[in-house]
Amino acid sequence: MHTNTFNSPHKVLIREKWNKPLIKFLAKKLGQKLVYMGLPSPGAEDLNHWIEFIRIVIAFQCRKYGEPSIETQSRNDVEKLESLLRQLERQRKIDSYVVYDGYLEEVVLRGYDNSPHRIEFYNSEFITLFNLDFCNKITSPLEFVSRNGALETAYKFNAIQKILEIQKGLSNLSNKFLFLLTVHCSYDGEELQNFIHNPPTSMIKAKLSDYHRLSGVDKNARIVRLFVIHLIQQHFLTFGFTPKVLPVIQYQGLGQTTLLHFVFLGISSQSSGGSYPLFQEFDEIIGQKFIQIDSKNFTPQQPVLSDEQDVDVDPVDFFTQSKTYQKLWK
Amino acid sequence: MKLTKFDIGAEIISILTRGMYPDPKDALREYIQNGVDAKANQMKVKIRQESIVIEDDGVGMNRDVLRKAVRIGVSDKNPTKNVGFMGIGIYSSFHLSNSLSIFSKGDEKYVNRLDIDFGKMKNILKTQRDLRLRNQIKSEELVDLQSLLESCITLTDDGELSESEFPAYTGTRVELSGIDLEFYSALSDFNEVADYLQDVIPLKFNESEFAHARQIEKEVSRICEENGQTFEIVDLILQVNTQVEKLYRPYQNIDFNKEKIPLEPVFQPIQSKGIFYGVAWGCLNSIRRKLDNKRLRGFILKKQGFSIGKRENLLKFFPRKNMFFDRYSGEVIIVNSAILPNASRNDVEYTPLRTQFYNALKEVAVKFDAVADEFQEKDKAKEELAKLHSEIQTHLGNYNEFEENAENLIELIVSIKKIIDELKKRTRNKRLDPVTLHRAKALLEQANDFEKSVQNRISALTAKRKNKKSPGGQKSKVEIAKGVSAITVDADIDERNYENLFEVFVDLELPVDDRLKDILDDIDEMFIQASASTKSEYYKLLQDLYERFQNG
Repeated sequence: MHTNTFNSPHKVLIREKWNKPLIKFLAKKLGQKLVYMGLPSPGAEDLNHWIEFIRIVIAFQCRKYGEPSIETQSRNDVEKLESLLRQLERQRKIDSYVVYDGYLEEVVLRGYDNSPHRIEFYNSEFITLFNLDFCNKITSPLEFVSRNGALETAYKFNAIQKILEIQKGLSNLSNKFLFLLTVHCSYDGEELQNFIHNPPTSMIKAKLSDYHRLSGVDKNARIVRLFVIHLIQQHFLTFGFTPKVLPVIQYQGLGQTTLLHFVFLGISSQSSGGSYPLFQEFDEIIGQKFIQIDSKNFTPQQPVLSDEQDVDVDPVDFFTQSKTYQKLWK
Repeated sequence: MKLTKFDIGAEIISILTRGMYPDPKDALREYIQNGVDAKANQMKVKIRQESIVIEDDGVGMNRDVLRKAVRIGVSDKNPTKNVGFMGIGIYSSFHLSNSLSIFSKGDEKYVNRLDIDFGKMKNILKTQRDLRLRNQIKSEELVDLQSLLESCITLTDDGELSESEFPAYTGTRVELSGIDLEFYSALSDFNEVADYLQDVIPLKFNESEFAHARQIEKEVSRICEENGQTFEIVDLILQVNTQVEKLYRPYQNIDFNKEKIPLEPVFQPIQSKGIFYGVAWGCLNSIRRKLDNKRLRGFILKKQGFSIGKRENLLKFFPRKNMFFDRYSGEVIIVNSAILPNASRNDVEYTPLRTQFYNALKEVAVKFDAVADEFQEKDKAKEELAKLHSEIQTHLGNYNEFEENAENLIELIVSIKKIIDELKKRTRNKRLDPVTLHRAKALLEQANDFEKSVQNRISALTAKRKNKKSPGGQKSKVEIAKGVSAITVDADIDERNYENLFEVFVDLELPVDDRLKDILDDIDEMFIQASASTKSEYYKLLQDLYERFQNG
């Protein structure tokens, strides 16, 4: 059955107690409300939680979650989200919004959405809050027909790369942003398989071999974390943003699916000798304990591997005490 | 004869709105007009596939006004003060959308909401039409207009709606949803909508792109205020999906002779026999050519910023026709409350005042033509002076003070004398401005010296042949060149080197098909090229032809 919401008690708690303090912190730091880009779902639950800190919404809404876009699918979800955002605009809770009909990756990489009168993907705002909640199992890559009629494949992480490239071009407008990413723990997109079969560094290769000794969720969570953090960190640095990665939350979504929630804080930085500053070792991030949700609290998980390090469960404290914050944000 | 509500069928709403608002952009115009009438300073128009929103910060409407807004052909608006007054505008989006919601907050501080379910109305009418086609319904059974409206319109009571639903100080927000996709396509192109709104909305002038923006706003307002009227302008932000821009009136420096600034605007109050109609302003191109941007050539008639008809409609009032009309860009702004646009907004309503207004406009048009004519004369004189200046410099450059060939010197004397004759003519021209006149006299003096110098060289040659002492005391070539260079000639010589007669026709914007092009090529070869002995003479002939054609 298709549901309009992916709200689970854990997700609500993460929005409220983990993300919201960070959003509030960033809005205060920037001195203005944020520009949101994300996949909010027709009920826009995330936006409702954070609305007091958001001024512009750029949303991607597919017609039937989990299935490739086709013309005959109902646009009800798109229309519902549009109507809700219009109401928020009327109530002066937000200044403006755009809703793209389609999956993020197909719209961004193809350059236009699935609306009957297609909307060209165009962004002139520096996004200060990304919320890419890929919380369902979706095929990756997604296939779509390009502008010239050719069948093409769209990888989620290529779309992220493209968005960061656009973001770089808008760095004169602002320079700090929060990047929230949720993926399925058993995410097995083609890009992850490539990563496992062709590890990009010897350190990753060694880590993968450690993880292969584990099983089930413990194994999957660590492989997906390794992959996501490696890739996002690379993309950030390629486009001149220094990332700060927060501890990863492992939690239960609807239907007892295990999800991983990542938080990256990005800042546009100056290159030195062709590379951008990085104040967080990859090894250190990968060696962190996962955070779990225990009743209504965040707690570090029991270590699965012997060398996993304890982490601060207050996201703002964790960030403000970091070297990245001290060197670039303060 | 007594009528009942059943004498006005519901179908009338569909017929009227289809006829009055054939373009979906006309519906936008209606709602924006209401905002302007409500004295809005700022308006936002947001066009998305699912909805269209028009929001203003005007005085807003309380429940009573909203209630009256649904009436058809009955309006409390004063036609002498407001542009929208027909009492039907609220239904202008009947065919465009399925639902209209108006949120408004007036002086009573309650937020009220009016909803019209166009979708339901259209369904009722469609069902009825289908029944009629099948002869399954009698005319007495057809739904009347009042019943249709009653079943599809809802209005909140005072206090029923929370203020947070539309937390404006005062103002109105119109939301259209369920947009018909066919109509939407006419609204989905940002530039198309922007161009349309620039023509129909009293937008501000763009200060950063148009040098005279502020001056025009101030001067038109001043003239209107002096005559007890106001000149309305509004800020408007247009969003079409992802593109958002503030809209201005379309005038930009770049449209006047590339990036040059247009000449100072000319203002003319339009009045006769003690009646003030409005103000006309116009900026003349800074060269003697029509504006490159066809869209802005000439004057547009406006009633308080809302365009009436097209620019070419006013051409007939200008005695010199396109010759000067197309070199101007400007507006004829009616602020007189008694002159109203007609229903289709392509002219003003037929009244005795209309005739008087157009007579007054004719007088104003003559004045604009006179200004352009004077500029033409002065600019031509400047340009000719610049040419003579250049010719003297060329002769000076070529002149050899030690020339031994008397024939060459005599040819030079003839050329200089021609220049002197021309300069004498110029200095007698009474329409020449004092600066140009002074420069022409200075150049004449130098030309005379030059002639004298060459004469002396001829005398010297003659003397040499007769072994006599040559006459002295003449100015040297360097001295004359210094004198000529010291004369600043600031005219632009607007000469285009047309490569053939066809290019002249193209520049004149005359329609040329392939057959005519062949004929032009033959004329060019047989007569024009044949009359020219050098390429520069050929260019000049074509340039002369251009000017002759352009000046009628």
